[in-house]
Amino acid sequence: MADFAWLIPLLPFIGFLINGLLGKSLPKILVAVIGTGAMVASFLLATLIFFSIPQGETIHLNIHLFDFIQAGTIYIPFDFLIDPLSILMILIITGIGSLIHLYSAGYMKEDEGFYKFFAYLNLFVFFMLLLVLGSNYIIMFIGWEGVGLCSYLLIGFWFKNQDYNNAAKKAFIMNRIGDLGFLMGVFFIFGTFGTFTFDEVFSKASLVTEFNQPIFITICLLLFVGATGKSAQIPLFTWLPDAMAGPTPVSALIHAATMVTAGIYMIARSNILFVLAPTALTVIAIVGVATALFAATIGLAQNDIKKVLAYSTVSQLGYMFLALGVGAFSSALFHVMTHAFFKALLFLGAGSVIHAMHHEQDIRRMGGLAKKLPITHLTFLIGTLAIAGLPGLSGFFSKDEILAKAFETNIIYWVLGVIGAILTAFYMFRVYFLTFHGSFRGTHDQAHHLHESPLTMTLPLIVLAVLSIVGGYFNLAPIFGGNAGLEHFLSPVFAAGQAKIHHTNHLSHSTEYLIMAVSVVAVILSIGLAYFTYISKKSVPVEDGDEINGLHKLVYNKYYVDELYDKVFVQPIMYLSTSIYKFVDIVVIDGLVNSIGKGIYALSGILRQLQSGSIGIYVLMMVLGLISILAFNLIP
Amino acid sequence: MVALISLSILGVFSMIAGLFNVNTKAVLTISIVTILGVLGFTAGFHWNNDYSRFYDMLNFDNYAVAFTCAILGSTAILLLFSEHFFSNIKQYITEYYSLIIFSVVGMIAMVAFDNLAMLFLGIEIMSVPLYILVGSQKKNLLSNESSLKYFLMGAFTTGILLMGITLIYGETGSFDLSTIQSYFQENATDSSPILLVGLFFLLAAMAFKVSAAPFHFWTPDVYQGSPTFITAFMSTVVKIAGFGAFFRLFYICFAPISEVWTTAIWVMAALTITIGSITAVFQNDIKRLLAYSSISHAGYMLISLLMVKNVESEAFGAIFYYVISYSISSIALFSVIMAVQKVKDSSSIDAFKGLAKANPLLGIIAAVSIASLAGLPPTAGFLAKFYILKSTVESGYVWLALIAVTNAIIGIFYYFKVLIAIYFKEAEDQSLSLIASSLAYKIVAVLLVIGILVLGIFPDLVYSIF
Repeated sequence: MADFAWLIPLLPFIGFLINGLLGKSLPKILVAVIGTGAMVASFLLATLIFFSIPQGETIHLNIHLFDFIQAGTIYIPFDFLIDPLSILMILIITGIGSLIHLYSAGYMKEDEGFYKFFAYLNLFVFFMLLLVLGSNYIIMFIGWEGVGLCSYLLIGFWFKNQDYNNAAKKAFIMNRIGDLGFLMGVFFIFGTFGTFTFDEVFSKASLVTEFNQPIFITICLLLFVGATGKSAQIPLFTWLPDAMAGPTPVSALIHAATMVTAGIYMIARSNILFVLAPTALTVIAIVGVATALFAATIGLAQNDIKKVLAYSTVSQLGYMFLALGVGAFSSALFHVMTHAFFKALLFLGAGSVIHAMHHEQDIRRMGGLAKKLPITHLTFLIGTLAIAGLPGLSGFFSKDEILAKAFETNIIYWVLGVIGAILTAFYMFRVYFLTFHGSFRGTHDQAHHLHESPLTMTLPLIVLAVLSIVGGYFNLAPIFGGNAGLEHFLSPVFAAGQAKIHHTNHLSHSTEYLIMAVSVVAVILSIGLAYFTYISKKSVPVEDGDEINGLHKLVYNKYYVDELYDKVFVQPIMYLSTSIYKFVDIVVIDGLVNSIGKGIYALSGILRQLQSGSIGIYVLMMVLGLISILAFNLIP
Repeated sequence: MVALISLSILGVFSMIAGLFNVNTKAVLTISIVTILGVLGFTAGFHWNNDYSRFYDMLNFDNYAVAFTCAILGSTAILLLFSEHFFSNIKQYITEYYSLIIFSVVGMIAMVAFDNLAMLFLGIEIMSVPLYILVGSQKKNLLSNESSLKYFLMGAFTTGILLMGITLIYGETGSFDLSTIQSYFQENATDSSPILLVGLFFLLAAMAFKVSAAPFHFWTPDVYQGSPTFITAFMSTVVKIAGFGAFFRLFYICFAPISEVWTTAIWVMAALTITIGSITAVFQNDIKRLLAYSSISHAGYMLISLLMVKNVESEAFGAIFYYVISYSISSIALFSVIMAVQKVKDSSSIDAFKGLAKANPLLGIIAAVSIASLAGLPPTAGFLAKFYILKSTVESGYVWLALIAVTNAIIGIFYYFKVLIAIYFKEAEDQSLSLIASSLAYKIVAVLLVIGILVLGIFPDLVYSIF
């Protein structure tokens, strides 16, 4: 069955070709059916492959498609690698992708670029699948760049708005900075191991015994730079909130569920290299927990429903990096999965609200929507509870696992992680209460048109809500009586790496219960505080023009990170670029080129005079030419 | 042999057909079919099958076969493209065909000669019909002028050529190439001055035929004054034949004493490329521009004569590839010029403004052929220059390669002047949209464009045949 894995990326690509080339003349319904159908077919294939793995066995299959590059000693086959990690990723991508394609059919119905949207979305899924299926770093890089391109195209989908274009450019450029790190890391890998292929690199790396060799730290930190770009971590996180300029299904698929987890996938894939560089892992953990906390605080003061979710995504990605940093690779992927469920749900729910509110995204203009949008309300509540980490829901299990693993490594990570969780619960319930409860604060016109979304939109919400509830049981930890299914499934991928990690202090069950209880209590208190603030006291965030002060102002303005980057990087580079343009380009290069051109033109004018039209002169020239040849050769 | 006889018969036939007012379309069809048939026969029968005739005066070896096929193929394509040109002419159309075919007969003798007498005969058989063809627009002053110029200078060159042959005969006692060659091999170190003078006279005469500097002065005047169809014929088919003969004479026969003449070729090549491309910069008439461009291309082809030390098949491959890519690109471009001239009656670059918008197909044909003439990848013209320059550097002529590359860059300027007019300028009037081309023209033109690109991607189709 797994031999047919090459079809999985091919189907969305075909969908892209059909919709991209012919979509303009096809009816919208057909475009949607082709786009969504390709995704669903891919998902079914992926499920079939998953279930074709015999019980209790694992899978590690290399599918050779063709030779991609063959030059000298460099050999890069175009191969796919089917193993538990890639299967998990393709299931998430095609599964969530199918739901979001279906949702888009309703959400984008009125848009004139309908076919273009589906074509881009299919193309994105194609590249994302390439990224996770590739069996070497080059194929991964192709996918890596491809998803960046699609992200750019989709953020700037409504390209008539210059702000959206700027957001798209910002996302692209910041990703390119990360890509450079990734690419250099890959070059170092080739320099060290002489190959790009995962299997060969990792088997050679597993023979290394010495930890923290400079070359491994270099490779890992460079790869991590790539991951910070794609997965929006400090310092390259500022593009993700701006990326909300794209249509909401894009935010759900690309900027929450799939593309932004590419960095986590890449590090988990290369786990053996990172295990060999504990210093790099420490850096990752610190950056991860710092991002988790930092983004969560910014989320407290944002008023755009999608911006809050964006910062929440950055923050949750921080948790995943924390998990990677403490060597809990399967916990990170567990959180990737549950986060994909509930964050896609939250984004799609937000999309449903925005759809009902006629493209109003400010939560200060909403309120009391629970009655008008019952399905959206209920599913959004489930998503909010899941992300807040209420016991029994998926987010609880995955986040708790990460916090427990963090506790094992360093108690400070755990403390910071719990603070982040408290903030998460608060800002999420702030959004929830302000949106769905209280009184309606929008215009009269909006109130009049409030409606629940069509079935194509609510169906994905319901499915995702169910997954957000049960997602945690896929990897139920032993202390809850589960068998940690996902961890076992993924263990072959991490076996070599885990063998090198020396676990010093295993937590006793009582400690685990205790830290769990602490975070649950803290979260519930935080929800209570949100209830007290936004329901009991009915307070609403201040308007833009109003005076705010101190810490609130700092957080509201996102710690002025954008302004800082602008002053420190953008403006000096722009200045340098303008001055170089003015001097080197205009004066030196243009001057040189133009004067050469003028010189030749003048020479041409002179040479032209020889062509006088008089035969006498022509013959004379011929004779002179002959005489000089003879003179040169015959006179000794 | 069959080629010479059947083409001569064809020439006589079409001349007589003119007398009896036979339908010109039919004569054209018969001519093209016969030429293609002869081409197929020559390629199929004589390839890898050396064949000498007339007491070894003609020898159809692989080299001769390849050039014969190139000449016949180019002629056939040109005749196919002649519709735009001949639709403006009412009289003596079959006589045109007949003269062209006679000229081709001379060319075949030029590329297959094994005897200096045959070379002389071939050149004259080729040239005399050309003098007439150049002046065929009897009412046009320019056409008459160029015919006279071409004839006077051609006659002058014939004198030089005969003088050279005579001097060589006087020293070696033979017209036969192999005898001359073995004489050179025996006396490689001390050649007598008489022999050298003869050799350089031959060099000058051949340089005139391929329009290499400083014997190129006739080219711009004659190319501009001739009817466009004849200009296309001269700058492609005649050029192939000229180089076929030049290369055969020097590369094969005079190779043993190459030290004597390589410096002269070096200087001539550098001069030809430079004068050709720099003077072209100033031109505003596309025919004159292409005349200079053809001079410049002749310089590149001259370089191939310097490859005497290289492997023979490589040198053959390089010159043949260059000849082929140059002539198909030129023919494609000339077909566009003829189409435009039909409605515009002008060959200035301004006449081409807005062509791409009015007629996208012609725009694409022009774009690809210009790219190939300018030597841009992935067209055949790029690799043609590449192979020549590669062997130049390998033979140690680095400076010559640098001069050639510099001029190739200058070349881009004037070629793009045409391209810019075609693609980025607005048309002055609506006449360009009146161009109507037959389906046959469209098919052949598209095939040519594909050929230019295919040769640029799979050069071994032509490069490695020897």
